[in-house]
Amino acid sequence: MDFPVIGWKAGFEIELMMPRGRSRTDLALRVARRCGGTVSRFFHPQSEPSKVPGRPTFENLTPGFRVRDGAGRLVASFVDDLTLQAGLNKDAPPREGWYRIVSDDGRLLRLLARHADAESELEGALMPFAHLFGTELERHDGGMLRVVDERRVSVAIGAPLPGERERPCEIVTAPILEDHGAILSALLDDAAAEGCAVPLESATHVHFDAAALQDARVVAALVDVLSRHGDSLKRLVGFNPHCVRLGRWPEALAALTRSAAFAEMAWPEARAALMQTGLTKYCDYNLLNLAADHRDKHTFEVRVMPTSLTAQPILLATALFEGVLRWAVGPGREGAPVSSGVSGLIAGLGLARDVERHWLDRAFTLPHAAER
Amino acid sequence: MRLSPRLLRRLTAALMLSSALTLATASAEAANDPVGAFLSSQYTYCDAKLVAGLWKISIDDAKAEIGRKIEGGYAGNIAPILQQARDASLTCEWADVPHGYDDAERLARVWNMDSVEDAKAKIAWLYTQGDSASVLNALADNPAAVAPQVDDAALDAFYASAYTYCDAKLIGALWHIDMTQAKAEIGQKILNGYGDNLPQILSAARLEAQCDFSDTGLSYSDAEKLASVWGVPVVQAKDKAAHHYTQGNSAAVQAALAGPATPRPTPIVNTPGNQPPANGGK
Repeated sequence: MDFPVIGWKAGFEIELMMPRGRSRTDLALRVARRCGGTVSRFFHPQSEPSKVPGRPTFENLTPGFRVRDGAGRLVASFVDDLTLQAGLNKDAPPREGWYRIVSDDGRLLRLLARHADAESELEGALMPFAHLFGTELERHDGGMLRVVDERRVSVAIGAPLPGERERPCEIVTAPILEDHGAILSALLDDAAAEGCAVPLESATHVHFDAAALQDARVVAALVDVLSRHGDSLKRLVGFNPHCVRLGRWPEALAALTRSAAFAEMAWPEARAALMQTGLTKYCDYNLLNLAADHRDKHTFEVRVMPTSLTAQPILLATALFEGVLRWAVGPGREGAPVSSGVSGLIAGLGLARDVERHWLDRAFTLPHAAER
Repeated sequence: MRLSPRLLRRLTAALMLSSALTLATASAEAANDPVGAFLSSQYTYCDAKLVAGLWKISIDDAKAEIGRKIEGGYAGNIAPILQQARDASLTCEWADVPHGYDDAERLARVWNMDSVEDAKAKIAWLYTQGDSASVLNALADNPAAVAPQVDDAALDAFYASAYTYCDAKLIGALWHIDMTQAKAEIGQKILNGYGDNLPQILSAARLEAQCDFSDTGLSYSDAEKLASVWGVPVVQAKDKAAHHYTQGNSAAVQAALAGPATPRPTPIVNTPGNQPPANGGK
């Protein structure tokens, strides 16, 4: 089968693990060489749970690498993912130049990320930040540096990064408008050539551009179809049961979108109402970016796809969910009923013949993904 | 795992011979059974052990992880994971491979090694590298010169197990040994605690041979009942039963035989009480 043609602008986040002794820098450099482009280092933010009482999360900055092609266009970023843990030697010493910066205040960390030089060593990155507060860096054991304010209250802490944290490599592609197959395939071929493997906790997330979804009736249809068949579709594409940041929507969402009042709302009002339903990004189908009107990530995110080192399975799953979105924008918006069975849904999405046959074959052979 | 040209040709032929019914049956049976998918695959206990060591999960969970990737169409993910396990210095030992002392002794001679212990170490190393085919090919190309004494206890263990005449036939074809020796090999592995390795050996054996209806131990009347239960002609029922036995799924056949047959329509017999009226009933 040729690569399925995707007719929707979409970006991909593919979680991989570099082999021992290599880092995500190596993959970024390989991609840059292929594209005739450049690699630049930047600070990548993540949240992690905190054991400090009264402080549920710490915000992290770790080294990420951005590849632009010869014309300066973004190709992809290569970043850490804290959920990828299995297979790493937690006792491994830090590699030179690899560090992380932690703070309990995400606002300060985002300010630091904007203004600190990520190409610098730790001291060079933090020193200007300390000077903003009129203080000097405090040095502690193990290479740890602390930024404090004038009352010696911690603002941010930087430390070398042990435990092979340079090996997790999430490929974050630029939004792709066409030739999704060729672009993904080239990136995954580079990853395979570097010896990347799919880690235990891996997932692939697809961000569908949300411009066409900014309509209360479209969102209502999308919530309806995924409330009925989202679990089946998740099993159909073979989600990774080790992925922990998945789950269903809050009950308030469907209660809102089923209401007659929601269907009559203009988009700004509908979006505000969606934000009151308790949406989070840690679910199977992320509506938060759409509802929050994120400037940099205005997307509907499907988070249930497993990772593959070849593009075909990812594209087949993307084509399936593209079909669901097209249904929501078209027949669903006009009030078409949702098929009671997932095979009926698939058959009614207007998918390309090969794609439809692939998913119907799978629906009929996976007993728990079949009709309810 | 590398396959010899001979094994590759057999695999290709086996795939081409599969009927639509067989494919549908096999895929339906394999779907959503990740451990079953692992056991039917080319991957070994050693491979599962490596994945378990890399991800710090149980070997049974590792089997399911491998099987899940196969079922989901992501089998291409497995080789790099195994390589990362090897890079982390994870290895398999002699106890992790599906071979006995006789195999090691034979390969020590084939490989011109000074000791059987050296051969055991090389076998374990080959399995660690994913190259069990080299071991199996070397054994197949160098069958035992003299039939070893058959152990009665091993035969008893075979007969007490769930393994069938068909399973023994498959192993006999793989290792070029007679039926009695094949039964004893199965029994010996069970007695020595290596019973978990038998499914992988049988997976390799299925690339070389298959069972006929005559190897199942079923009778013609069994075939008739299976035809009734499965709703197919008797000839097809025989083929289907043989296929199930070849795939190690004799339990499905036994379950079909244990259930009720589809009742045949009761023939209408004209008796004085129910003869039709002479005028056609109008």
